[in-house]
Amino acid sequence: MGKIIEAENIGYVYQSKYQKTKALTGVSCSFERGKVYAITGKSGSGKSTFLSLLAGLDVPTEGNLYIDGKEIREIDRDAYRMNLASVIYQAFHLFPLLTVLENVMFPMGLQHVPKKEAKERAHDFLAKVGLPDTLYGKMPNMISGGEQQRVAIARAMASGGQILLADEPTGNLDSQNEAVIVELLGKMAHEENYAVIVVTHNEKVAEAADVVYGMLDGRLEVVRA
Amino acid sequence: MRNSLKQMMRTPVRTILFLGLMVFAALLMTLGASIWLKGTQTMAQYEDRFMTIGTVRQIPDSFAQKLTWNAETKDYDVRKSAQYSDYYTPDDLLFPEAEYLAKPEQRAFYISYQPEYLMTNVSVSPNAILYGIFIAEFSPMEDAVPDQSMPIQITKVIGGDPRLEGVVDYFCDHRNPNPEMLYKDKTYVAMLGFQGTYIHGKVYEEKMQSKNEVHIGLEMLPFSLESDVLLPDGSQSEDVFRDGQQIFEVTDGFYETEAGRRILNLAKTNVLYRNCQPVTGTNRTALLMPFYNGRCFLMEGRDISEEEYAAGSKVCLAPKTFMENNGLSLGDAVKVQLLLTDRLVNAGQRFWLDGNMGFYSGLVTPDGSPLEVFETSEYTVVGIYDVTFSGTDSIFDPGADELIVPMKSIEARYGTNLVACGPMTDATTSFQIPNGGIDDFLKSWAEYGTDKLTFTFYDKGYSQLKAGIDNMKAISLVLLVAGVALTALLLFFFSHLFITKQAERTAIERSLGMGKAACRWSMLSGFALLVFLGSILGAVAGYQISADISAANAGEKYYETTYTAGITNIVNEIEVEEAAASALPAAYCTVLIVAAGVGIAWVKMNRSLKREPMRLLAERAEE
Repeated sequence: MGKIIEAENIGYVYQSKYQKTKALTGVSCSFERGKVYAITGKSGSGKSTFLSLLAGLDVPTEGNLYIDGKEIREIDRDAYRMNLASVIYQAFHLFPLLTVLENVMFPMGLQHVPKKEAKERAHDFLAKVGLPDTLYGKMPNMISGGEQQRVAIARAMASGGQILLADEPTGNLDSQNEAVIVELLGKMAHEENYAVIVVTHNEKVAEAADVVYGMLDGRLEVVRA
Repeated sequence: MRNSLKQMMRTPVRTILFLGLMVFAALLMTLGASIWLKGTQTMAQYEDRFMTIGTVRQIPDSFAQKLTWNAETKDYDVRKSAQYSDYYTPDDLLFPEAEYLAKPEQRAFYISYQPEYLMTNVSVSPNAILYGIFIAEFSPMEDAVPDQSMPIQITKVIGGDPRLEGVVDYFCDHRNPNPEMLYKDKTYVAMLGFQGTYIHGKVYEEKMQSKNEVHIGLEMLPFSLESDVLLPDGSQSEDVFRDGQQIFEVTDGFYETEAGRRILNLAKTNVLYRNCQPVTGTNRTALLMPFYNGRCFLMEGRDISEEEYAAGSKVCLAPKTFMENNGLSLGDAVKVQLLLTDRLVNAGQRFWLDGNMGFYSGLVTPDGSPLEVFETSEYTVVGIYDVTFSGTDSIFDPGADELIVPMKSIEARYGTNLVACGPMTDATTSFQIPNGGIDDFLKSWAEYGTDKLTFTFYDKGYSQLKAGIDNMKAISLVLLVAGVALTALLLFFFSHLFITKQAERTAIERSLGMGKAACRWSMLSGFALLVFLGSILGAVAGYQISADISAANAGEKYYETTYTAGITNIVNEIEVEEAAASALPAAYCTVLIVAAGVGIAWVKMNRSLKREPMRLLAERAEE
């Protein structure tokens, strides 16, 4: 199975007007499809910065990051996020003024998928994450946190990518919903063949991962291969 | 845009409130701008139709009492006459800050001897005795002292209407406290006239008792032989006949005496006066109040041009009655023979429109010679004017048959054969200042001028119009400022709600692969559409209200409000149509509001886009 993401000695420095802050230093690693990766570490260790680089929202200030064999600086990073990588968050970050169904249809709208087809596919994705169709027309604030995170996963699936980046996906969930989401992430990797990369504090989530990295002061170490 | 709008419509209260307030703000702005523009355009449109004229009057230094004997009451009448230590001149009005569109002019009017033309006085009453004053020999019907009305017979008319010969009427040496006896077998000569005293005394009582014959009319009075013609500087000449004998017995060789020669010379000019026409010289037609206030109006031809006035061209405006009475047409020449100069009053005070005439006595030179025509020229009639009604009612009346000519066209225009002279008066002195300049003028005059001159201003309602429009513009400014302020407030507040507060949405869109440009469009499009809709609806409403106001004010009339000089019959008004409502303010306001809205939203959007999405969304998670 090929590496879909490969980091070579990357570093990242936040540069403000008055100071420079080194967030990442010499990070080298790779990610494959079909696996769940967990990145653990304390707050401020650089996990989210690393995830941001993996999402193509920024580029490393040092080193190289390859996406499907291409250096990230050389690709259309908007297209990368639209077609290849999706992100889910601790706070779900659904569009609050769109319905559940519309949230899932949104990425397909960006890909110019016809509305009817997008709707059908959205139904499928929502069914895959186990949401009953009675919730499809509801607004995100009308459903539970676990349900919202499932919608976020369905939206990630809707972009049709190969990489799912998750930033503390269970941080706001109770243990029951946490288990559901962990299971869904596993399914995404093992059944849908996604490379699932999860930044988490949660040991249970880490335990469920196939590979575990630890982030400390901007440096990444393999905890469990 | 569809998603953007969809999300906006999911917060209908906020969206409708924004739209409604934007409509209101745009309405205020457009209405304010429209009214402001309309006010400015209306003023510009009508500026030329208004004209501000000032008239000048010198206040007397004092009043002197003059005692005149009254034979009827056997007592002295007390008459007051204004006294001036000196006469101010138009040059005294040329102070540094004075801004004149037409400099002050003190007009004289001239009396032209016109034997070749038919004058109104003759055309109106062909059979009337046309002399207010005449020179004749007479004999009393009985011996009597003329301290009361006594019958006399006019035996020979020397200067005046010959039809008076043989007439028996009443005579009294009314102003003489010590008249001498007149004898019925003697012939006397005097300058006689009817001057407002009625028959009185024994004759009157007899007639009142005889119910068959009641005749209560004017009596004849004698007049002094003194010259009333002033020296060129306006002063009075020395004259041996001043305050002297007025009734002379006609004896052999009387007409060889100094008094006899004076009487014959007076008679010569008196005859000339029968066929006279007033001629007024001015530097601008509108400075003549009858033309300014619309009493006189051009009915044919044109006004005398500025160039003709400046060059002193021999052109004139002539009254319709004069032209018709004499079969004259536009372009014809009128021969003018100037005989007398009057610098005291205007022509209307001597040549009344009803055909009556005021008269002058003492029409000989200061040395007793007969007066002669001092300037002859031909004037081409370039305009014919008419008078709105023929009654007389104010000091501004035009004179019957009055010709209007450029002042500079009269060469001997200052003091030749000057029969009356006086200070500047409202009827003879006027000037033009810029519209709206009255307050500035008076303020400057208070600094530089004298309190011996007073001014009356006429602006045909310009002050009223300007005050109204200024008031309207002040209101429009308030509307405009309120509209701009409300618009700015709304744009900042709602762009905060719709854009800054939607930074999370932007971050999600970015993380889903939407490019910055697409994010910007997604966020801006809905906001801009609302701004555009609000501004265009408001602008249309503002335009409509402004058009309704215009329609409601259509045909508003502005009246002269400063008349203080006795005009009663003239309604001096200007009908003002407000400038039509323009769509320009609506268009500009819409463009301005949309540009401001997009600009503000653009800046805020850029701020949102500068924030790193993952970091922003992580912050939100912590919140």
